Order: sequence, then C-alpha cells, then structure tokens
Amino acid sequence: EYGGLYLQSTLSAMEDKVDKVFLPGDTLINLQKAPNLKIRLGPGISQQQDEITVFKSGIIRHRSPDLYWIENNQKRYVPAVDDFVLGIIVDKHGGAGNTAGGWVVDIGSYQHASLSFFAFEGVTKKNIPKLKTGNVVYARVTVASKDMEPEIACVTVDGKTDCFGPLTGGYMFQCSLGLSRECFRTDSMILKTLGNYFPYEVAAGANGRIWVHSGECSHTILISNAILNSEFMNNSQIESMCKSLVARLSEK
Amino acid sequence: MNRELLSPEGLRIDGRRPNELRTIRCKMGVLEKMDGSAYFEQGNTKALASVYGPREVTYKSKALHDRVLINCTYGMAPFSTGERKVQRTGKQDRRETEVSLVLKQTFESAILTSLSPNSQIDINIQILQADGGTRCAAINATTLALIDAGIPLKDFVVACAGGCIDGVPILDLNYFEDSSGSPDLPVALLPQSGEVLMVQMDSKLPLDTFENVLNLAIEGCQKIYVQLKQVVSQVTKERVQNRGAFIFS
Repeated sequence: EYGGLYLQSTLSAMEDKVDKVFLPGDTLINLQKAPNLKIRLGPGISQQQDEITVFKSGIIRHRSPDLYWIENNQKRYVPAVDDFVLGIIVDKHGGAGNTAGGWVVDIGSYQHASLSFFAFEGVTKKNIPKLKTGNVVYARVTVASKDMEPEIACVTVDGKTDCFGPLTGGYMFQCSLGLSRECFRTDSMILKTLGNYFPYEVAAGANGRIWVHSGECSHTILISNAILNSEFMNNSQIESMCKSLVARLSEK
Repeated sequence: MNRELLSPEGLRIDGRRPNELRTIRCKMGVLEKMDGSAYFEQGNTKALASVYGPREVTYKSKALHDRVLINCTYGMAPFSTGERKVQRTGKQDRRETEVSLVLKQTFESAILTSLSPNSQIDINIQILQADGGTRCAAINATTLALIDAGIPLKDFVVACAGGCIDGVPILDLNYFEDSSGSPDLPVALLPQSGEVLMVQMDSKLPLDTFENVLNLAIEGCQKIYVQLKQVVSQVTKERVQNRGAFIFS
C-alpha cells in the first residue's frame, strides 16, 4: 500500500510538469526522489545519471500511459520512424534488374533517404514505378537512426498505398516544423478556412514541407501564402487574413 | 590614471557600480533563412549569431563517425570598431581565428555531440559594434541561436568578463576600461551545474585577486542566465503554447 501511494505521488509529480515550458539544462525529475517512476523518454529529454534533463527548449507533452516528450518549433528536420514526409527524388541507383536498388530522396535531413524500388504496393520486377529526378513523393519514414541513412517507403504498415506515392502538379514549399505539424491536423483552422473559399488538395510533411494543388494557379499561390502567414495567428486573425487575401484576388 | 576609471564614490566612468552589468537586450529568430539565429546586445556591444545544421558535412574527410563536427566563425564587421577595420577579404585576422577556436571548443562541451554523428553544425558570429566583452557577447548570442535552432544542449552557456581596477574587482568591462590596462578575464559557464567551460586572462593578477575576480565574473554569468532564461521562456511560449498539442498516432 505504501508503494501504491508513493507511485501515485510520483506520477502526479510528473503531471504538473506537463504543458509547462522547459529550457535546456532544466531537470525534469530527480530519480532518487522517485525510484519507482517508469517513464518513456521521447524527443528532447535524456537521462544523465540520476536526473532526467531536458536538452531542447519547449513544452512537455504527455501521452498516456508513460510517454513524455518536448514539443518545440525548429526549422531543421531530424528523421523519426513513422513520420510522414515529403521528399524530392535526387538520384536513382541500381537498374531495373537490381533488386537492391532504389531512389535517393532529399527529405531535408542531413543525409538523403533511400526509397527502395519495392516499397510500393503491388510492385514486381516488371512494373517498378517510373519516378524521375525532381519528382515529389509522399512517404513514411521506416528506418531512422543517428548512425544510418534514413529509409522511406510509399506504403502503410499493412502494405497499402493509402495516401503515399508521387504527387503530380501543384506546388511544394518549405516552412517550419511546427507549421507543417499544424497543417497535418484534420481540424486545422487555416486549412478549413481556405477550404471554404476554394477546392484544393494539400499534403503536409513532418519535415517542414507542404504541397498544395488546386485548379487555378492563382489559388495555389494564395493558399501557400495564407498558410505561411498563419503560423503565429489565432483563429480570428486567420479568418480575417484569408478574407482580405481572397478579396484582393477577386478585385482583379 | 586609474582614478579616472573608478571615482572616489566607487562609480565607474559610465556610472556603474563595480559589480553592475550593462543593460542586456536580445532577440531570437532574427534571420529567416538560418536554422537558428539571435541578436544580443550588452551595453554598446552588439553581436549577431546564426546557426545552420545539423547538415551534411562539406568536407567528407573531416566527418567524425561518432559525433557532430562544429565549425565556428567569429568575425568583426569593419564598422564595429572606432576606426574602420580594413581586412583582406575572406581572411580572418589572428584575433578572430583565436576567438573562433575558443568558441568552438566551448560549445563542443555544451552541445550533445553524440546525437548527430556524421553531420556538421555551422556557427557564425558577427560583431556589429564592439565596446568590450565581445567574445562574451558572442557566446551569449550563440547560446540563444542554438536554442532557436533546436540543437540539443546540456545547458545554457553564459559568459561574462571580469576585471580589476586598483585591486577592486569589476564586472563587465567596456572598451575603455579594457584598454586602459585592467586585466580582462572572460569566463563561460554552464549555470545549472556551475561548471566553468572557458576562462581566459590577458595580463597578470596576484592569486587572491584572481580568485575574487573569477568569482565576480561567475556571479555576473548567473545574472545574465536569469535574463536569458526569461527571454527564451517567453519565445518558447509564443511559438509552441499557442498551438494545441500535436498527438501523433
């Protein structure tokens, strides 16, 4: 019983740290004071001997039961497994007969990622997808470690295509990681507001890249500018900003 | 001569007390194209730091297999000093090379280098106006720029310089005090643990005076840390808290 009470008090010790700002070097919790604590450390948190310290400035987020991580906003992408990313094909190595071949894809990390020929649904040696240098692909990161080059695939975990694969037409632009994560949410205010004015397609990558495609060139440009402007705006500012941009467009 | 630097009432030439810091102003994220950037002012000394990385190593032969390579360039703008500094384009003078190396070594101890092996972080510092304490301002600006870029740090790195007039330890020298013969003792440390990363001294001091000056400089660093913490907390809140939590599935 004593153990149960102690565990509860240490869990609540972590509870009041969630959604608070932490800076590099700050100690999250000292393990000596909470010896029964079992938590999983996500990005931005590390263990230095007896102390759990934070090494990036940001806000602590929590996902039950035991995952804690630092959420921050930076521009440089560091690949993580299961991230959905937008990549640009840079090179191809291995010919059609070479089963170990694939494409070299730039996903914004310091090493290019490799996309195997067979990381697509229903592909065989005879019908490898025809992707060229410069094509944009939407893919999922399958391997990401600090020592190896990252690997991506255009299939879900079950092997289905879903939303992955080459993206044709449209316009891809770069932004901060925070903004692209925001556009990833289905209830994102900026995307919903823009959807009230034009029909369009959008793909947001965790690597700070967003792809927009709509019927008219002018609409695509307006949507891209609106998304970039909306980074630090609240909901009412977003609505008025979109309204004024659309009004300027229809003046022509 | 030393009477001019420290008045009988104990005031320095700019009206500060011996243990008073100059006013600090700083901003993060001032350069759009850089991964991280910061502008730092300490009195009249102005430093602009920018960080790019972790990115692919430019010279493959220099890549380190187990940690990140840190390249640091410190430069003083020609208009930063009293007399316009003429320099051969692209080359650093001896002092700039020395400060670049000191900065690189300081940050190698503070950045968690093993988290991104085979990559490179470029740090570039420009001094826009020099009025004493330029390498300390450079270090403080770089810390803010690294935090802006999201590069993993053990702790903030804060720096402050100490000196001595007539045996009285003084904090945060300006150019006039520095050039009129006071010893200049820049100190950089990790504030939470108190670990000193860099100490330099450019003249002689008796050992007991040295200890007093060093302790005063460390105190000054802690004061700067309080101010930097406030700025970073504010910026972090603006950038992250205004958005709801991103729960990845």
